[in-house]
Amino acid sequence: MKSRHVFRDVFVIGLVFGFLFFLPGVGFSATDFPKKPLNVIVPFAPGGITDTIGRLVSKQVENYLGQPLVIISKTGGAGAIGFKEGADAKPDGYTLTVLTTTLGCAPHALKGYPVTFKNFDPIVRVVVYQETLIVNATSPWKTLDDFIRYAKANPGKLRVGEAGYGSNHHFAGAGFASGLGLQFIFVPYAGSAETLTAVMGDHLEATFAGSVEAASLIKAGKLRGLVTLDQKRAAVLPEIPSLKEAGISGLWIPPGWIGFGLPKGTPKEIRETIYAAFKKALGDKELIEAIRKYGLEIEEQGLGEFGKWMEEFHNNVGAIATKINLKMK
Amino acid sequence: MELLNHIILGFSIAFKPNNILFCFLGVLFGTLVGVLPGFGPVAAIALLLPITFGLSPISAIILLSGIYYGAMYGGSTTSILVNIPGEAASVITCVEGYPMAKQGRAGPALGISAFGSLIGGTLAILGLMLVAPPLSEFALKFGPPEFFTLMLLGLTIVTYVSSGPVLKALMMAALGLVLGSFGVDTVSGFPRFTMGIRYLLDGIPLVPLVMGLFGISEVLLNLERTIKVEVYAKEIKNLLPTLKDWAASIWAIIRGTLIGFFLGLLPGAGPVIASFASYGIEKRISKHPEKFGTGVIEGVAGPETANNAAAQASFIPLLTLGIPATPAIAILLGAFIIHGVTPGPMLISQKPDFFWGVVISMYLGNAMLLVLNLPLIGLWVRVTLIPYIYLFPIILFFCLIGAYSINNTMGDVYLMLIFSIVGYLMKKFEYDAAPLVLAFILGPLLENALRQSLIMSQGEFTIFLERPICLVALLCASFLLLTAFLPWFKKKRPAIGMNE
Repeated sequence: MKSRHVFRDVFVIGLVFGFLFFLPGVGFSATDFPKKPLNVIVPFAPGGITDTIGRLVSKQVENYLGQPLVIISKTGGAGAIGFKEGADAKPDGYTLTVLTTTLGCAPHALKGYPVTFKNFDPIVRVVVYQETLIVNATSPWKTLDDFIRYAKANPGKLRVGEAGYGSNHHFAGAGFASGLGLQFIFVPYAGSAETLTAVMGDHLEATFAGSVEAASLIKAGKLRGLVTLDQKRAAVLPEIPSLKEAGISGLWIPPGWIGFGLPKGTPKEIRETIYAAFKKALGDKELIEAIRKYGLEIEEQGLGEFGKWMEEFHNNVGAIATKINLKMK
Repeated sequence: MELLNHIILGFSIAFKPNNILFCFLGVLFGTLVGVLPGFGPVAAIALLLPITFGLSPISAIILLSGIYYGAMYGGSTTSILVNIPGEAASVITCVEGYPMAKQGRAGPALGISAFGSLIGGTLAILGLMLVAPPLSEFALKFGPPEFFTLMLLGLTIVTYVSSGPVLKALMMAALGLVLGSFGVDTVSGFPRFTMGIRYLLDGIPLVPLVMGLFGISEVLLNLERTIKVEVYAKEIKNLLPTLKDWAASIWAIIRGTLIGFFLGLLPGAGPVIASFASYGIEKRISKHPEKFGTGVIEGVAGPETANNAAAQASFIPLLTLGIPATPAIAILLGAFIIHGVTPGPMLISQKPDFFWGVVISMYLGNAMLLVLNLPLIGLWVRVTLIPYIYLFPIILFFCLIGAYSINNTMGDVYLMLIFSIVGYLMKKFEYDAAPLVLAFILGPLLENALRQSLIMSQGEFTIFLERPICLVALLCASFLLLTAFLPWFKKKRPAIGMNE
């Protein structure tokens, strides 16, 4: 091992000096990137879905960048610590950050949240997972219509879980209620594992949770999904109708998503080199299958397009926050 | 039949070669931290947590739980031979164990602790296997009001059975509550006590807190004192207790098992309280209470059984309700979540391989522990002889690395150092860290459950009286409080506690 490192180091140093000699003043060039291993900052705890997807994708990208991608877990501060470190890294392409839903939601809910999507150069969106409206499998509501009719007839009666202050589940519930003019009693919980359990125990009438998180309990017959809160059905729950099919238009509900970004100001050639590698990796059957095991489908979107998508996401969540008059403390 | 299938499933997982290895490593390390004074299972589990990131969830939990119940075995060795408790749950063992060693009866004392531990431990696992699956189905009925009243009852019992300076314990509990409330409030989103520091948005993390309070503070304290170790190691013979010893201990072991099991179920109690309670009861009902303190074998057998039974039983609230009853279990809960397993009512039905694999491995672990603690006792005796000048720098070194490696954040290291100074001062002024950590863990759970209940009921406190489980728990708690204040009961209350 050691001798290989020595050889590599000599090779790298040789390469650097070579460029210094022959190409003075050229600086970055797409062809000499990457020269060393890349770091990937994961702002959430190991074992979670962000970490898992981050690792799977990074591993596959190594094949195309020709350098190892080293995962660095920087958790804490509702993701703020990792995002901030990623955004403040040197914009030389060697520090990637796994971007998530939280980056689009937390700045609207937590005062002084130090970063938004604007602090990053977008590279690629990997997965999007829709929110689902969940009720107990034994509940009288079989369709979204039943539920809405009941909620309209009984304003302020239904107890609905709010899974994590400032999470996309929180904004999903708020957006749903305000968008359709419904009144719920929102009961705050730490996360969606807890709200799903509470719905099963009839302590809550409904909750909003990620399609992936709820899928196994829906399939086990413990819970019922009324609607996938998106324009299309979720791959993991193909039997549950979409918002569009349920006849509701003009309602935007924040889904969960995971992508990758670089610090703002990274040279264009480097961004393109990295994106090209991700695009190839995300097309690999191996990776598609591995991600499918977690109930997710790759929804690849790159560079500027991904940036525009994040901007829309950010603004839409902001609109919900304004509508429900969410005050940041 | 279903149970049998599950047990077979459990065996097939627990007896995979790698899981046998991790189980062995866990109980070995557990015995080691149990034997070493000043470094208990809480700090040890916290320390090893990052090392398990690369393991499968089942192997990781088998390893970490092995440390927890393994430490209950090891702790008695140091208590008996050196008169220094190896860890908190063996404090009371010193009282009878050390005099026994002085009389040349170290062998039977060690023997009966090991057998008592095995009996208490395995019977409690049997209880866990029988109680946990039906309880977890029932546990879905536990909503916020039930959680709230159950934890209230648990804390009432803890205050009831632990005496010592009440004021100091209450002060520590209050400090724990304050520390537990740091971070973004889940109801209103208000960042409490974050002082603009981003690191504190998620609150104070448990692991650096306990590593500071229980790990490094002990090292600091030992820097300033020279410990004269008198080890009664030469006289270890007759490890197998005689029939007379058995006759004196068997009921203490049975009572210890029951006391440990039921106290282990309660949020807040756990092995330490169970060992004190067992000792108190043995002394109260003994025909010769005046002999207690001079080396009576039932005074070793009872507490050592009770702490093992409690350690195993405290897995029940974790695996069925997701409630961490003790600090060590709270760190295990963190480990579960890191490994993508959410403890709670759905755990057993959704991940039967996980539940049964871990539970069966506990049988295996207990059997290994008996071997480690009887035939190989000589090894651990030698461990008690390791000079502290080598031991403590090593502990310090691993704590520093361990604190950083969980989140790769220097914040955790600073926090640990702050709490090691706090813990050092607390030890100097004789404040017990246990109520602080307990309040730190249970406080936020209690607060959330209370607020969720009141949001559900739209502010009506009657929600706690309308539900049968709540009502029963509240009645029990008020009965205990009442008896604690009535003078007639006050006299009868067993004088047992953690600070004696």
